Amino acid sequence: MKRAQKPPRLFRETIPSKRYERKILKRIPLVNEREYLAGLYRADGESYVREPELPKKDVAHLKRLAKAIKHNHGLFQPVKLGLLAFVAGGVLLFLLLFLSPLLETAIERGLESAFVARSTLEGFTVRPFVPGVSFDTLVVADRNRPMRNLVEIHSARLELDLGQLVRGRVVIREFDAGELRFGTDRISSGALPDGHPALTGRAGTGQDAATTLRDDAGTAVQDGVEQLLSLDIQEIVDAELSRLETPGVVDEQIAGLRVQLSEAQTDITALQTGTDTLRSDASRLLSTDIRSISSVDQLVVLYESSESLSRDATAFLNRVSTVSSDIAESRAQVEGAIAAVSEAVRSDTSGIQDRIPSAADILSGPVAAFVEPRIMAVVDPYRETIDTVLGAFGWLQQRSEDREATAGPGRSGRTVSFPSREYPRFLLERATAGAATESVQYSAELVSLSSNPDLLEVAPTARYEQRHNGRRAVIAAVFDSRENAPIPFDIDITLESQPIGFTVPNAPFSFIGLTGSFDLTAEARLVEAGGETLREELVAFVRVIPDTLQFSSEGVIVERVRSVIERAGSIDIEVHAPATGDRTVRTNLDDPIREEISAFLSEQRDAIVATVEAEVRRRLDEQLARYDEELSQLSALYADLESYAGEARELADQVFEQRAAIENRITGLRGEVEDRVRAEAEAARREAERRAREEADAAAREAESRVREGAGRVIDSIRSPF
Amino acid sequence: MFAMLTRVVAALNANRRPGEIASACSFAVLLALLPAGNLIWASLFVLVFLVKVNLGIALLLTAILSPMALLVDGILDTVGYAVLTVPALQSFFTWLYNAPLGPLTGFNQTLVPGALVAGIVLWIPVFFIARAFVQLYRNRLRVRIIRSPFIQWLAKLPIVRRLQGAASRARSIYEWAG
Repeated sequence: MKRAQKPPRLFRETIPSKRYERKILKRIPLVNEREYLAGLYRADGESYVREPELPKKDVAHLKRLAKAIKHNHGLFQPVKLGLLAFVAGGVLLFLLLFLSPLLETAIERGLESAFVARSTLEGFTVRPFVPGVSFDTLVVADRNRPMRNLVEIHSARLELDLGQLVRGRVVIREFDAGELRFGTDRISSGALPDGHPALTGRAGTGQDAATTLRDDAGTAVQDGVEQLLSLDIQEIVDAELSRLETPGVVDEQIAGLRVQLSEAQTDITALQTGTDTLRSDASRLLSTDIRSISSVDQLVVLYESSESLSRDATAFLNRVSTVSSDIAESRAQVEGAIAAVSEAVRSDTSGIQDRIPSAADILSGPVAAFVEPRIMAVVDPYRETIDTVLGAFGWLQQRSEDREATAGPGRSGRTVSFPSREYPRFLLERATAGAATESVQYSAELVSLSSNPDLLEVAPTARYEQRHNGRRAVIAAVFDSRENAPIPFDIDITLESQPIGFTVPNAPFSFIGLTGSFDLTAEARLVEAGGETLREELVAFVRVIPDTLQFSSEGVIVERVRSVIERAGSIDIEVHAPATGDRTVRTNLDDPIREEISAFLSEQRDAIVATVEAEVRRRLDEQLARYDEELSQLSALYADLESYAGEARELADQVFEQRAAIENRITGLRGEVEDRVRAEAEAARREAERRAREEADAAAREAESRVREGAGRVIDSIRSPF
Repeated sequence: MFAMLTRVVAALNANRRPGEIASACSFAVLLALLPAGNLIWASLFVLVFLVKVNLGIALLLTAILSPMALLVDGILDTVGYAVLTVPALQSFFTWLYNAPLGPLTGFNQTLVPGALVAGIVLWIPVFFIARAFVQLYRNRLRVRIIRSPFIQWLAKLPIVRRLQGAASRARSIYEWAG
């Protein structure tokens, strides 16, 4: 049997008036519904009463009405409130249960992306009420040495600023790690597998900035030293003598002299013939007694003969003079050749010193050249790590900037600022780690690491200090990526009394290793090198105090090098790699070793030069001896020439005297003849004058007689014209 | 949109307090004036879901009035700037600005305090006006509208019948959801 429907409990048969009016009627806003209810209930004293049994239609109506009354009661919607509380509780529960694992995975991925190596985070727990997080172990592998860890952190606790976290900023007030280790060994490789997202787009990063090591520097130094040690005096002497210019000069000079000697010999022979001819020609002339000759014609003929002989004698003497000059010139050439030979020898011997290698040429910073690539080989991997850290730092800042750029309302309006401290999206105010055992004490501190350092007054700094058995290591770094920061990155490293022991191949001076201790002070930093380009700058000072020195062989140079190191007491290495310009590495051993080797080489060189000079002198004497024969020939020729020339000059003088005598004789004879001719001419003139006068007188008289006859005829004619 | 209109019509005719619709209108004005995307707006929006206001009317009016709010941005900016620069409130605003949730409220954006002040000031008049309108509709206009020849003719159209059916189902769902 179907049970009859009952009206809701709100609509009982009897309802107190106060309740009916306040709880029911007041909560029915529609008039018709109130009227409907008034039709069901009637006032009965202090209450309202309805019929006990109601039709189905009324029951259903009352049910709807009860629902509306219930809805119209109260301000909030309890169902939705409950639903909201349930959802919030569910979310909170979800976060409590799953937030830690989710964040753990996310942090691992982030670290792997930043360091490009396997990262493991264990025991990560979010502590929402602190607020903060903690973890048991964090291990980040070294990408360059996969079987070692870059860093290992144990028992760490981290406190967050909840207020900033709500505002979307991760501000870590305190990070405390109970134990911090670097460079620990790994059981499995820390390299990321191929195709890992962290490897995408990172190929070659850091390699470009890496310094190209001069692996051949040590070998070059060793070659230089070997070159010094292998100097062969005889070989150098032979090489130097093969370069001498003297033999060539001598050969050339002697060849020329021989040609001249041949020509002079011919000339001397001709002079000898000429002398004989001159002598025979002169003997006839000289044998004639001039005074005995009274005939002018004979004297003229004799004079003409003497004149011809004088010309021949003069020409012969000129020839003698020419030949003499030629011989003198040849002699001068010989003497010049000897001087040239001497000059060539002097030049040859003086060039020897220049051609013998010196220590300065070969040993330009022998220790520095060997040390430099090894130091840079140690430094370069850390430069790559620094690049990685700075890259992760930049990534953090970039992500922060991108997210901040999308914030802000879309509508117009103004933003009014109020005094406040603005935090970056990520800030690690202070992180510390430290531990102390009986032998080792270390502490690490990281301050003000943030995604936007421009919002902070101090630059991010990191410091690590370790003491172990009296040794001390301090590393302090500043990552100042604030705008206009003069030095974006600066790291200072101080190592004291650190043990050192190594062996090296191809080291100069047969050096193979040492043991001892060293101190290191280094500062590396990034500086602006024009525009936005950043360059690394490194200044480092290393002092190695050797306990034992090992050399592969012994020798003079090795002994001297060893003594230099022992006298120095330490090996001081100063590295200066400026942002622009050449890198320089200096050591305190370079100059002393170079001086020591220079002294050794000077001794060797002096010996070589002395030997070469002696040999050159000996060979010079040999070469000069080759001139003796030519000189003696020249002297003989010169003597012959002088003989012939003397005789010719004597003959010529006699001929000239004879010619003068002939001239005097001819002059004397000419006077007598002239007087006689003059007297004869005077007599003839007188005779002619007498004859002329006689002829003139005769002519005059004849003319007078003719004139007289003529005049008589004229007179006659006049007197007797007819 | 049709469902929204249906819910509005259903709310007007339902056995609900007029204050629910009136407060929905007031909230809608406040939400429309306030720039979205800040904690104040989000809180008010959640509040609308939690208190007994007519959600359909609130959402519909918010959607309608929000574009119109751009027209009064200048006034809201002036009011908001005046509020933010009141000397007596500077310490409070500074505290609020540095409070964890302060910047999330966007209170330092002039439109937010301007709209908040304007919305609160307008809340009560809008509430009473809307409630008076609902009462007027229910007491006088509703019967007249229903009995008007046009509505009678309209009610006989097949499509309107189907719409009525849909509206009835929507109303039942609406009532079930509270």
